[in-house]
Amino acid sequence: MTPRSVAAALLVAFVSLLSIGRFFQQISDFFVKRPAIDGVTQFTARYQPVRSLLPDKGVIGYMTDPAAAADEVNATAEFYLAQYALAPIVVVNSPNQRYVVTNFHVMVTTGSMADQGYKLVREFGNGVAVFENQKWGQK
Amino acid sequence: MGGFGGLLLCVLAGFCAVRALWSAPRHWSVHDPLRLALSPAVGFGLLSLVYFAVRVVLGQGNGLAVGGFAVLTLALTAGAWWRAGQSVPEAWKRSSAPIWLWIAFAIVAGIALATVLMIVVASPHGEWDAWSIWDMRARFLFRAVETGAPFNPLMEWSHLDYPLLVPSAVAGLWAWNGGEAQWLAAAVAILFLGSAVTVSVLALARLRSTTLGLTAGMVLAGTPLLTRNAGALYADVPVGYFFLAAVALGLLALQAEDGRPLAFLAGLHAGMAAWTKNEGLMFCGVLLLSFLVVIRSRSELGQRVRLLLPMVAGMLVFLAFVGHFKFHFAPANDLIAAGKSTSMGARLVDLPRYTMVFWSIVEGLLTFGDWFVPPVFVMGVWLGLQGLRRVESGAMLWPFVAASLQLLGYLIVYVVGSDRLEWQLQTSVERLLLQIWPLAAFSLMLLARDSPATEKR
Repeated sequence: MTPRSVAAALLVAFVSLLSIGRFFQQISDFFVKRPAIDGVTQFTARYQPVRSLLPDKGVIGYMTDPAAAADEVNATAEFYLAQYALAPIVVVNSPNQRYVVTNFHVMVTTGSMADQGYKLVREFGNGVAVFENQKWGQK
Repeated sequence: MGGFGGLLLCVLAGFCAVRALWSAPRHWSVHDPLRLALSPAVGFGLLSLVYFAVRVVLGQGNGLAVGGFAVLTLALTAGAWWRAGQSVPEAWKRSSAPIWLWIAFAIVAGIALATVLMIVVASPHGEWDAWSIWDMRARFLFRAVETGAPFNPLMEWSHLDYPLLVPSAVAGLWAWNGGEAQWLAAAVAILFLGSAVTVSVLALARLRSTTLGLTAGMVLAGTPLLTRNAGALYADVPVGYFFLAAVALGLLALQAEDGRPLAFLAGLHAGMAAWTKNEGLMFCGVLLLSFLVVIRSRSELGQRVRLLLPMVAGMLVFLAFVGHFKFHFAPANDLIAAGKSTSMGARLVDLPRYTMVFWSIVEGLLTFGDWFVPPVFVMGVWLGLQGLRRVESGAMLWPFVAASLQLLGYLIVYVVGSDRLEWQLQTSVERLLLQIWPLAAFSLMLLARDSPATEKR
């Protein structure tokens, strides 16, 4: 190798090593402080019991609380994650289906849901429940 | 057999498919390391085809998909064995590289591997696009009991038109595993990353020199964005890998005595790019166009025309499946659908859109890769030190022209197709540049002069 070629290869080696080394450090800092269970696994685990209740195909509605809906990015992410957890059931981001799965972060009573026309089918805790839409098919 | 067995079977199927086409004697041969580096991606491509055909087209169960892939692997093994009996020993004059360069490459590659492993352990489901698109589709393919369920129009937000190589391969591996296992999706992503680095090193070692091969390997393994994107379980690294492998195989075809099998393999890889992401469809056109345009002599023209047919034939293997998927299951691409809503013609002459896209790409290039110093500057200095090689044939310019045309294609799609241009540029320029990055780094190595001691031609 000529001195110029050596210098060129050394340059690439040096910058590559610094770049990936810095990234390694960032990731390893995060890695040691990471939660025991990652966010996606934690969120989707809430929906595991729902899956066993649902059939192998079909469409289900989705309802979240207004506080969550205000944070658009998080609300979208949580809706996508609910779909990710419940596949192959198709989840639509609307309560206008016969059955509706919830993702509540604040306390919601079955009474208030009943007032809106939703009858509890089963509650799974952590804001997750399946309701039957009493108004479904009336229009 | 389990997920690990499924992975091994993919590598075996890929290796036998490559050897059945690009044959060699039955013993370990000089080009076998490169064949082995190509194997995982070819295996994933074949598994995804079988899985899609059995589960989606025929509407059959996971068991039949597993059995179908086992039969295909057996047939490919027999084909490779039979073709090996007719092959002559391979010759290759290996060029040497200094030991310190090998050590530097090993350290950079080792750190990249450790980093991507930490990412997938910490976030086994990957990032946003992984669980809202790629792994979501894998779950639908694996769990759904009815044909077409994964493509329900109610889920149009999940980009139902995106091709299926990655999700179908992951679902196929889950079928081998007998259940969903997130580490298999991570293994697919990491093997694509590894193949991008090793194919770059090994192909350049054959086309130019081991020194340039190792340099390209360090450039790719040392790019944090590539590692991060692989760990995110996105499909940009796989599609970028296919761009690189298609061109590398095309160049090897141009060097070979009978380049037709390698040209077929090159086309096969371009087809797999189209089966991975929609950008791959554009790449098929770019590959053929640049292959026929970057020609400097009449003899080159004749050689290219002879290799064109096998290259197109290779592409068609996967394009047939892409076509079936697009016509029977996928809705129109959102960019194309958006383009219909307003006048594409009006956008085509809208100069401010070009300016906006151009500067966004320039900005993306200047900050690309999360490198310590922007790679544009580093590679510029590197090229200055190495010097430009004298252009002797169109072949050495081909990869650079292909990468440039692909970038130009992205620019035009942004200009004419995007309804939300600013948002689209903000969220996708980096990833589109990443797709071209392995091919761009590879093409730079072909344009640079090498030291006389190691220069091959």
